[in-house]
Amino acid sequence: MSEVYVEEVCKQYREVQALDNITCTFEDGQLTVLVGPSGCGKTTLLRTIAGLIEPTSGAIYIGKRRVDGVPPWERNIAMVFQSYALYPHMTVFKNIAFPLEATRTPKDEIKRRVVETARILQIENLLDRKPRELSGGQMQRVALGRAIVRKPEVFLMDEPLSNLDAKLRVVMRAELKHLQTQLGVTTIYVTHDQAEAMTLADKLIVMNAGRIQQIGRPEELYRHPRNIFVAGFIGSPPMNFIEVQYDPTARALVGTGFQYPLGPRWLDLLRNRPAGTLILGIRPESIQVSNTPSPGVVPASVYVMEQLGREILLDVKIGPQTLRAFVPADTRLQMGQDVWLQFHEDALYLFDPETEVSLSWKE
Amino acid sequence: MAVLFIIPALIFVTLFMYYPIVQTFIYSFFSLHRTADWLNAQFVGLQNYIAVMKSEAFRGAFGFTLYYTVMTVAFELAIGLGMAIATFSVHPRLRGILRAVLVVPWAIPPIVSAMLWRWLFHADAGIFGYLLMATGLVSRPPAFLTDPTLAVHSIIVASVWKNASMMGILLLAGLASIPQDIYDAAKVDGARTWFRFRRVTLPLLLPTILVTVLFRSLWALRMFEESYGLTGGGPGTTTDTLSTFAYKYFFTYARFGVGSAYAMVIFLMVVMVAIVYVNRVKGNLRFKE
Amino acid sequence: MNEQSSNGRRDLKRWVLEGLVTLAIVGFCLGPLYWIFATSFKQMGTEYVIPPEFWPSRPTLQAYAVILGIQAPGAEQASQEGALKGTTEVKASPHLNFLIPVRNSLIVSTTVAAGALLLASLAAYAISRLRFRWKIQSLMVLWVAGLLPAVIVIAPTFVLMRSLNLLRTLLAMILPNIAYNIPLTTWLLAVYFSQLPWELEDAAKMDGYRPLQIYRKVILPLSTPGLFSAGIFAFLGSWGEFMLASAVTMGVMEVQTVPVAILNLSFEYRYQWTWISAAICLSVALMVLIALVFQRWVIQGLTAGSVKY
Ligand SMILES: Nc1ncnc2c1ncn2[C@@H]1O[C@H](COP(=O)(O)OP(=O)(O)O)[C@@H](O)[C@H]1O
Ligand SMILES: [Mg+2]
Repeated sequence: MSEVYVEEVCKQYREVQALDNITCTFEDGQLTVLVGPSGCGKTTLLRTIAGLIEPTSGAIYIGKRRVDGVPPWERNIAMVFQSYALYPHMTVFKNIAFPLEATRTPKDEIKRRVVETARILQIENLLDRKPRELSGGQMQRVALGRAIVRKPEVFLMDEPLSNLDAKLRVVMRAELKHLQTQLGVTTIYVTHDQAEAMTLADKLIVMNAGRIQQIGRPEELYRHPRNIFVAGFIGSPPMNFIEVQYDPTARALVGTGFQYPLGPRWLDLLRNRPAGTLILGIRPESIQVSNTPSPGVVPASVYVMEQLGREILLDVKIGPQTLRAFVPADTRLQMGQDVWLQFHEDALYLFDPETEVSLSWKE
Repeated sequence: MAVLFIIPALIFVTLFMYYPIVQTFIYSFFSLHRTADWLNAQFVGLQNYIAVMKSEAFRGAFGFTLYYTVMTVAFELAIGLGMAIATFSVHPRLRGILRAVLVVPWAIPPIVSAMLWRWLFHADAGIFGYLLMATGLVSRPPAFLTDPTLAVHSIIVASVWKNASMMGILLLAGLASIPQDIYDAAKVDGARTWFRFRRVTLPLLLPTILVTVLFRSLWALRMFEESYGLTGGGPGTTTDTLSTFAYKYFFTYARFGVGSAYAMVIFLMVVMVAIVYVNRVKGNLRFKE
Repeated sequence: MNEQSSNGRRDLKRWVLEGLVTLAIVGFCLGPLYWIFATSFKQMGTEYVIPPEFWPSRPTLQAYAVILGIQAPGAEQASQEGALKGTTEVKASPHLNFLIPVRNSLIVSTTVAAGALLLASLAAYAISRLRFRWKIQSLMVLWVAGLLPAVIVIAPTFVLMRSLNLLRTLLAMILPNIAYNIPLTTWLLAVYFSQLPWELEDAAKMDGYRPLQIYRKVILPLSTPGLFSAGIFAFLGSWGEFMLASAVTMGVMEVQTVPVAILNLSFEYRYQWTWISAAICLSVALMVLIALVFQRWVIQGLTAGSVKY
């Protein structure tokens, strides 16, 4: 079991910079999730750690050992693929035994460990089957079994659940988390699904366009996003963004049709800032919607209502801009009706329109 | 209605392929010397076949045909597999070059290939003889095409050259159809190159290898041009195949009955392999009903 | 396997290894052709010099000139030929003209490709797009024909051509070769047609089009690449056909195709390897060029043709 350290890794494809100066640590025994939109370089980074891709520059350490240049079969890692990549011509037993056979483990020990692994994953009754006779969930378990059987230093998983149907995905997600905690093996997990990332991760690494955007625990990223990208990516439905003008003399943010007076905390943060455009961010779950106006609220009108059962997801319009907010399920509202939105000051985010960095961000 | 679309093709194929087979079958029971008018010819029953079976020449040709088929297909498979793996493994830029180059021997008509090799194997000025001499292996150029043993193997060499790359192309397609993830999984599972090849690549390629070998055997069994162009069957009849004999009986000796008996033997051999082959691939011959 | 290391030394070693492997394969596939190519530029007689020149020190187009009938095989050469044969007889050879077989082959192959495409595309359309009974059976009948050896059909075909009075004509090669190429072209086109979207056809049907119109106005225009690729196979296949061509042309120069002409040339002038080499180069140049230019289609067709597993 060991820590994985990636130092200043770049990967250049002909025109695309798939990885742009990536430096990060994957702590020993923890489950770290690499998350980001499709095409941001997650798979490339994972495969670079696996040794399936050599980086253009930079260094990779597994434990104390520098591994870039070391072929994958000498890295003592295990990988779970999105396609599962089971060997179609081998039985489940043979599939799970393959990594042990490749590393010349004695026969009786192979048998013992495969059976033990199958027991942990509850697939003992499938050992004689071929992959094509398995369901998606069963293939998933076999792929996991093949990964854990050799007790590797690191597990690498590339969207391992995305080929399962939604229900099974949730079940497997929980099992995976349980298994990982039990085994305590350093795990790097790739997904584009932020909800999956949030539920699984000890630590999250958010990537975009080949760069790391932010690293932190799930709730940290949710509470303190470093920039507009992370703020918009983490959380569902995503954070609302409105363009506003900062007016230092009025000590307020001015938007179309509303003026939002700033409290002492924000005024302090904005002390040295000249008047100008800012991006205001507010999460849907932090907006309070009321039928009646009161001081400091933002007027809006109901545009669309989506009944979710527990609550209603509301699309409201402020001038040309649309915001999303939640109201209790029994709230009586009509389309086009005027409502007033209250943004709690503590739930507010402000971003610089140029750098997109949060004004309340501290390294 | 739809049948109207198929009928023209069926007519052509029937007229020039299926009907002549029946004809050849009938010919083989008649004595057709310098004629092919079987309605007025003498029915001889199985005599053509008996004569053929009894002749030393037939046994030689039969043996050579089988030996040739086994040898060429084996060497073509080995070399083709090597070339396919090499092409698959090299850098994409080199891969492009190799794929193009592999097509070249296939594109050369068989008889032209035979002529080409006749020059390479030329007894006085052939490049192979010269190279063997230059390396000091022999003191004078070997008689590649006139020594019985050498002639047999010269033909095999020429055929392997002509067909190995085609085999390579087919195997390359087989290699490429194995998902990259499977190779990658084997790598991270700790399998080294040889282990990966033996335990993953080769077993997954086996169905392709089988189909390719059957396919090539279908053509090797009827081999004609290589022998006809390279040695003309010589020395003596050492390199005569069943096909060259059939052809010679038809168009040199004008004995259509005996020639047809030879042709039927080839036909039966090809049909036997074809049955296995068709059974393997007929699953792929499927279209929406 | 596709990734290159950034590590300099490993990289270099790998490049050298890959380069050598590539060279070996290129040498294997092109080496024999190179030798014929080099020979075709040698001065008459120098092709027999030992040690052989790997590239002629004084390259000449003489052999090509003779082959194409621009230069008569003169007395000087003929006597040399005689000397080599060990006879003193000096034969005044007539003008050669290799352009005649090339022309014949072009006519035969083009007509065969066109004919096979026409018949095969009709059949392929029905097989891939229409419903009818005996579909798989008809496909099998067409396809299995492609596995049959030519030697089993050659004698009756010869007899048929004789009774039709077609011996020593190009038509005697064209008609059977269309049939020989139908199995593969039908299969390739059926695979191609089956991959076209069905929506277009459904739309055409709703507009009241009949199958023949759909075939002409929808399927064919959309299938140019498929037709081209199948056409290449028919063209190359009939260009190289030897057994039938040799039988039905019966030694008549005027109707010989390239393969037959080359074999005859080598019987007639068996000591003039510069000429034979030139003829071989001329006749394979076009084939090799087609194969190289349309390499991707050829590879796809070959794979589909062996009914890829
Ligand atoms: N072999 C390759 N050649 C060229 N570009 C590639 C290759 N592999 C990935 N890329 C590019 O690198 C970027 C990152 O890809 P990837 O790591 O697969 O993204 P993700 O897994 O986050 O969806 C993409 O823009 C992709 O197009
Ligand atoms: Mg990915």
